[in-house]
Amino acid sequence: MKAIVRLTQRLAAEIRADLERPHPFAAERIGFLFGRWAFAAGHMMVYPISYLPVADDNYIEAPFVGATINSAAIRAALQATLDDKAACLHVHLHPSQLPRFSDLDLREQDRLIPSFCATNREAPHGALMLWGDAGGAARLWPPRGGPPLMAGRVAFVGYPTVLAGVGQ
Amino acid sequence: MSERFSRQSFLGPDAEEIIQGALIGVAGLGGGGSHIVQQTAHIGFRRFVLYDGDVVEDSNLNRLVGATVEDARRETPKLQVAKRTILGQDSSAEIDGHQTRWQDAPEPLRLCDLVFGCVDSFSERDQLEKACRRHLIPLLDIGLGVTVIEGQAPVMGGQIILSMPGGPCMRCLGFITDKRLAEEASRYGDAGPRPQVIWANGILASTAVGFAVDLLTDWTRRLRSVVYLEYRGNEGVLRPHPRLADRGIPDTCPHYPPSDLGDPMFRPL
Repeated sequence: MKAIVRLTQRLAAEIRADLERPHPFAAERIGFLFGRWAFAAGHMMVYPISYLPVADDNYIEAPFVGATINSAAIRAALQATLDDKAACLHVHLHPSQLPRFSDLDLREQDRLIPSFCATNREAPHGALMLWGDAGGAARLWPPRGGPPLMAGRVAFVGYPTVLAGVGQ
Repeated sequence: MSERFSRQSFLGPDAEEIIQGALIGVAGLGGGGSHIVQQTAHIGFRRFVLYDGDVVEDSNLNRLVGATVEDARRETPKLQVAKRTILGQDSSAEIDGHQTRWQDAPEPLRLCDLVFGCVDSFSERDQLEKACRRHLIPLLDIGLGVTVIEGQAPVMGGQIILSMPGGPCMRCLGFITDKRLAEEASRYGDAGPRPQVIWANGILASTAVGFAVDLLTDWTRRLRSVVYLEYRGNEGVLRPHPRLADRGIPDTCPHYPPSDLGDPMFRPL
């Protein structure tokens, strides 16, 4: 199984605009994406459609990490996943760091994403990281169990169409 | 930038990597698709999903790039001609070839980063656009037609459309209409030979390839909205379609809502 994430440049711009806003104390912002999914030729594909920012009040002051969010933020994302029968991606921004998830990112994803997998078992879920002006990386959990895998392609579809990742 | 692609280094420092990494689909490997395959292979694209169920016939030789008299004699599949063309440029190119219509093996198409539509009919265009929209894939459609009316000079025309998910579709642009689809369906089986010529196919295909490269590399930094060009072959003119000036074209497509993305699913009424 391989993985692809595609989203429109329009949606990516909306996400970036939100995540780039400074927060009173959190070093970075977090959001959640909801969308549809498909399976084809040994690949799972996730197509995010809508974005849910985490409200300012739902960040927790925590030393040593960029951002920590409270249960209300997570509950809202889980509820949206359930209501929309959606695939959900946790999303954050690495403006200038290396274009990959940090060890802390991976550890926190391992704790968080299984809750989404349990909420909608039919869909893949995971995490998307945007970096720089245009790049991105994603990690997806297949539905009904199985280890997460890095998406070989994250495509930002629009003018221009930006292809991140190493292809499939 | 390698020496081989040094003459196209103006495309940007990452262009070679972008082009080599992109997976492009070509639906139809005839008069238009054969040009697309040849040019994309020269540019450095090396990952392809190809579709065509037909074999080379004598009547194809006036326009099928790469095909020979021997191919017509042997009834070589057009897919084999396309593969030969690509592998002649890059022997390690990755080709997922299907000697069938794309509709009969649609899954590999869904993996593509960009699709070229080189199909013959409105209904096939409509189906291909539906598939690409459902999977958020930009579609570059090209088409050529020659209308022959007795007593008048034949009229050659064509189009290039970049159908970008989220933006105006071929229905929004007035290119695909229910009326056209119905007229086409009523003529089913009565199409006769479709007049096609290599120079016009070449103009349309070359221009489409140019848009594809620009879309992926952003080398002009100008491609920011829908592409709909009309080709007026009798005059040798390729220009923005007059319908683009129509204020009725929506920015956001109402025909393919985001809720229709992905695999179909049941929804409560």
